Amino acid sequence: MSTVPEVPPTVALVGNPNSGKSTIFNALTGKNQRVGNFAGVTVEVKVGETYNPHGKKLHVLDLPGCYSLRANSPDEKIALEALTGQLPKTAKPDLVVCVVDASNLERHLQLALQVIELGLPCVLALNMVDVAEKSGLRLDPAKLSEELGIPVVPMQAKAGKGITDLKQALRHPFPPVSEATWLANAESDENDRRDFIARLCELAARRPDSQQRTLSDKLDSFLLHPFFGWVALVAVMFCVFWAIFSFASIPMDLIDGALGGFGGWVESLMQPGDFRSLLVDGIIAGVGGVLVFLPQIILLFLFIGLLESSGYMSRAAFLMDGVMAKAGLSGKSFLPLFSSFACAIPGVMATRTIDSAKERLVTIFVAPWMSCSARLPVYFLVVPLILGEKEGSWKQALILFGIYVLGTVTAFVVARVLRGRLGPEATTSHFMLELPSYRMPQWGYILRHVLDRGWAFVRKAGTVILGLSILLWALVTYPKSDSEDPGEALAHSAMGRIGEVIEPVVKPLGFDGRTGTAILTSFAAREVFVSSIGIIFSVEETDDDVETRSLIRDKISKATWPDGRPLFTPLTMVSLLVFFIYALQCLPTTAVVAREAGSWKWAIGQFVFMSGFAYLASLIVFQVGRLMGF
Amino acid sequence: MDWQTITALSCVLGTLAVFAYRIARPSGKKSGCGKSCGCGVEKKR
Repeated sequence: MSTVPEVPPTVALVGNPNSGKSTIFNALTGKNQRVGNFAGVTVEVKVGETYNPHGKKLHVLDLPGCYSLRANSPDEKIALEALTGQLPKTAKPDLVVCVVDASNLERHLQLALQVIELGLPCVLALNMVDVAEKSGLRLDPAKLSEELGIPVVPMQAKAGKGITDLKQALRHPFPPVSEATWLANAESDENDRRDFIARLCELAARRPDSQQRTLSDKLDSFLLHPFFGWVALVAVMFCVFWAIFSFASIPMDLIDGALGGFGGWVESLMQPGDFRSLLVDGIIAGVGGVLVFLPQIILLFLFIGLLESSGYMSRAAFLMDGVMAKAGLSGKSFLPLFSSFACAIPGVMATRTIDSAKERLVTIFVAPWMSCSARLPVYFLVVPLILGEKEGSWKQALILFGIYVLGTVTAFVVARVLRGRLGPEATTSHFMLELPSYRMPQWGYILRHVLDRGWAFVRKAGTVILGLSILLWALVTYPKSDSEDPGEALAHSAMGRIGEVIEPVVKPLGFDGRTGTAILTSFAAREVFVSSIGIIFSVEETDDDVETRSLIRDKISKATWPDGRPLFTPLTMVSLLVFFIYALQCLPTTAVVAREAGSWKWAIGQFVFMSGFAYLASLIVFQVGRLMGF
Repeated sequence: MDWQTITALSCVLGTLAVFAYRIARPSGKKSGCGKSCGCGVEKKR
C-alpha cells in the first residue's frame, strides 16, 4: 500500500527590517542572503529548508521585513499574504518565528503582537540581546514568555548564539496558539497593543534610571546635526561619486579593450559578411557597450552595501526626508533616486521598499531623470563643442554639474506635480525608519550582494540588450546598399530612411536627418549615439575613446546644411544636450519600469511623457536661442 | 544569398519571434504594486 508523502511543516520568519531575520534564516538554512542595515532588505519571500532536533524536515520562509501587518506597502502585503496562506505556491505557516531586536523591544513587539493575533503558533526570537544588555537594558525572557504565552529564545544571531535553542523551539508539537489578551478595546487595537507593550517592558525589559549615551548616540549627535549632518552627507555622497567615476574608469577601460580585442579576433576568424557584421558590430559592440558599465554598477552597490550595513543609509534617508517632502516624496525615495545616478535600472528596482504605492510610482516615473552614467559619453562628446575647446576644462565640469542639477531639479518639480495629481493616499502612510546602531560592515554579505546585483546586470545584458542589439543592427544594415561608404550604407538602411522621414520633425530642434537617425538609434541605449554619429559622418573609430570623440568633433564641426550653414552650432549642441537630459532613451529601463509598476501603461506613459518633454524643452531652447541671435 | 546572410537573417527573425512571444504571453508574475494608484493592477482584498 502506498503512502502519501508527508509535507514538511512550514516555519515563517517575520520581523521588522534590520532585526536580524535574514541572518537567522541563513543560519537555519545555510543559504546566503543579503543582510542590510536599512529598511527592506528582503522584498520577496525566500525559501529554505532546515531540520529540527528530531531530524524532521522543515520549510523555512524568510518574509520581507515590515513594521506592521497593515498591508500598506508591497513588503507588508507580501508578509500578510504569506502568513494568512494567500500567497500563491506558498503553504500557510504552521509556526511563526517573530524576530525582534531586543534593544528596540517596544517598537518590534508591535509586529509580534499582530502576528499572535492572527492565531498562529509563535516563537519569539529575542535577537541582539548583547546590544540590549550593553545599553543597560535588563531583560527577563522568562517573564516575556509568561506574559506573551509563547516560547522566547534569547539570541545573538550574528555570533551564531541561540540558533541551537531556536531549533529546539521548532520541535514537534509546536507551541499552542496564544490568546491575544491585550485586545480589550475593540475600537482601537493599536492603543491596546501599545498599553500592553508598555506594561510588558516595565516587567521584562527594564531600563536603567539614567540613560547612557552609546557610541551611536554620540555619532548621531554629529551625523544628524542640522548643519554638520548635512556637511557629512554631502561629503559622503561626494566621496561615493568621486570613487565611482574615478576607480571605475580603470576596469571600464580594461573591459572596453578586451571587448575590442575579442571583436577583432572574431573579425580575423571570419570572412566579411552579414553574420560577421552581426557578431562584431551588433552583438559584441551592443552588449559590450552596456557591459562596460558593470564596474560602475558594482562600485555603486558596494558603496550602497557599505552605507546600509554600517547604518549610515538610514541616517541619510532621515536627513533627506525634509528635502524629499518638498517633491511630495519621503526619505525612502532618496536611495532609489541616488542609485539612479549610476543606472536607472537598480534605482527603479530599489523603489520596492517605499510604503506608499503612489509615492513609489512617482519615484519610478522620475528616476530616469537622474543623469545616469550612460549619458556621460554623449555629454563628453557634446559639451566641448559648446565651448569650442578640448575635453577636460573646469568650465566643462561646471556645465556637467549644471546638467546633473537640471535633471534633478526637473525630476523634483515633476514629482511634486505628479504626486499632487495622483491625489491623497487611501490610507495614511507614515515614514517610519529604524535608526539602527552603527556597526562594522558585514563584508561577506556585502560582497555576495554585489555579486548578485552584478550578475543580474550581466544577465540583463545577455538577454534584453542582446535582443535589442540584434534588432538595431538589422535596422541599420537592411536594406543593403551597394556603396562601400558606411555613411551612405546607413542612409540607405531602414534606420536612415526613418531618419530622413523624421527630418521635418527634428528640424525645429536644429537637427538634420542624419542627427535624427543617430538620435533614433540611441533610443535603445543613449551611448549608442556616439558610435552612430561616428558611422554617419564616416569617422574611423580608434582604440582611445577620447581620441575618437575628438575626431568626431572635428568632423561634425565641419558638417553643413545643404545651403552651407554650419550644422552643429553651439546652440544646436545645447538643444541636443537638453534632449539627452530629458529623453528616456533606454529600453531596458522601460522594461524594468513595466515590471515594477505592474503595467506597461505606466512604462509607455513614462516613455511618451519624457520623450515629449525632451522634444518640447529642446524646441524651446533652440527657437528661443535663435530669436536671441545665437 | 550566402550562408552569412541567411544566418544573420535567421538570428534577426528568431529575436523578433522571441520578443513577440514575450510581449504577447500572459504575465504570470504578480506586480509589486500597492493599491489605488491608478496603474491598473487591482488589489485582491
